[in-house]
Amino acid sequence: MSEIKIIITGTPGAGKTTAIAAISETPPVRTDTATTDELSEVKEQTTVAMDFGELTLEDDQKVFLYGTPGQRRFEFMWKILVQGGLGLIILVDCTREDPLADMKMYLENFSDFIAETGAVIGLVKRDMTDTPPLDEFYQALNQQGLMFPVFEVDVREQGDVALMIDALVSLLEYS
Amino acid sequence: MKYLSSIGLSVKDENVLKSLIDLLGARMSEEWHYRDDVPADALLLDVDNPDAIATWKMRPETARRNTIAYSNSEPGFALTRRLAKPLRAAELIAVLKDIEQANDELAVPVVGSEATEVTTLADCVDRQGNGVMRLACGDREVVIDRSRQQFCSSESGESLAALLTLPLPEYQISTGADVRLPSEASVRWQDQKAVLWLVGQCGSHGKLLDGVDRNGLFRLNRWPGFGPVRPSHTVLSLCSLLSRKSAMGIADMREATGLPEFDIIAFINAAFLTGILDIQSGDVARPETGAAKPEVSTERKGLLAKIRSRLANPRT
Ligand SMILES: Nc1nc2c(ncn2[C@@H]2O[C@H](COP(=O)(O)OP(=O)(O)OP(=O)(O)O)[C@@H](O)[C@H]2O)c(=O)[nH]1
Ligand SMILES: [Mg+2]
Repeated sequence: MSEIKIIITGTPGAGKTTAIAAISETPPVRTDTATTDELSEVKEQTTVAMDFGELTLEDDQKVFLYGTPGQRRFEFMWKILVQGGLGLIILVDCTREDPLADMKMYLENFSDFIAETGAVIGLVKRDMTDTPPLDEFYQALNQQGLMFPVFEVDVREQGDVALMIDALVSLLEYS
Repeated sequence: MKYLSSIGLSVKDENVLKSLIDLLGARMSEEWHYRDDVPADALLLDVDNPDAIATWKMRPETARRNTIAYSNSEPGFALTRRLAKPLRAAELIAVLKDIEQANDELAVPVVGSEATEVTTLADCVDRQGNGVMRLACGDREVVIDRSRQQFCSSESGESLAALLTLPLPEYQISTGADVRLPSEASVRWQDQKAVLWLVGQCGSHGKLLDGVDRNGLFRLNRWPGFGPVRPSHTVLSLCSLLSRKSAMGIADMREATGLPEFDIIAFINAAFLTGILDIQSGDVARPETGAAKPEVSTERKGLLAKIRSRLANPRT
């Protein structure tokens, strides 16, 4: 049986590694490295290959959680990573300049995969800003003929990460 | 014998109205009395008073028949009968005669037959419109301020849900100016969506809201914000189902999920109350659902159920 995996993507610093750490049974296998370029002012570590965590089901089957590297120069890896994946979680960092554009970029880049599976949007760092309003994300989705759940989450909280996976699983079954 | 009642009038207006009624006498074909304690044949509503409108909206349909909008200027409120302030005998007589006549034309009065009564908390909150409303049971309470889109409660989480599950007669309900607000310092106001969602989920008792067409086709325009209460599998399934491109009827929803209608109605009401539900008339030609995704295999369903079960049992 092929590997069961859920993919988590988002801009650098959105919280992919944090989300996986919050829910994975094993500490995420980090492939982080010290940041060198413009990102270094913001973050000390960034993920260069991928993060990886796991959940064990009742019959010992495993579900793997993969975080894509955030930086766009790793875009070539995204398509490889999603092959055979169950679905996508897109984390949108609302403290960035244009979070709506970020979301659209990921929806576009993963459009084939999303069309076959499904996606959940997690808005992060809402404690730091309440813009753009939630409605604008739904409008942006609607413009692309999409209807996915958009949740305001704190990826440091296991319950919030579980909600996103739970919603994704329901989408796969019923939408 | 006919009865007139009023909602939201100033003390002065109410006194004027009562004395005018006493003076009508022979000028009317029937005898009119001012009474608040019996079902009224005509109701004067001060539409310049938002709290009065809120109270009025909660009255059952039967009690809202023959409402006369009483206002300073042209009311932004669609009622066929109106009286301008201040009250004048001639105008009052004209409008009451009109009501007498309209009632005569109805061979059999419809009172109580087709008209729907407010029987659930969800109905009651839905009808309340834009004012303030307080629900209390013993020392537990919820205050919902629809105009400021917020609520506060002595309860939270599961105990709030439990409070909203009671049958309607168990609550003491006050609205508008009658609501004693908790002192500002002691309460935490929260977004009303959370409580409206719970009112729909817990306070529907299997009855679809009046504004919702039983044969309609439903679709979500967004997902609910769940707040601190983790949504059930039922709720997530229905959210997913109503995220599809084509809207769905209640029967389709039952078939797709195997859920009881009771749960589906609770969900639809909750979505309606929180403003995330789009309703299309079920009469229009059904869109072709030909492009639907293939059935999810049993094996796949099994896997998804296992993931769900794992998420419900977090390991620390
Ligand atoms: N204030 C606040 N901080 C958050 C929130 N969510 C995540 N963070 C912080 O944001 C940072 C996210 O960092 P990572 O998890 O490394 O982000 P990443 O997506 O893996 O980034 P790359 O690997 O560089 O692509 C961490 O320091 C988190 O603690 C939030 O909701 N509020
Ligand atoms: Mg990372």
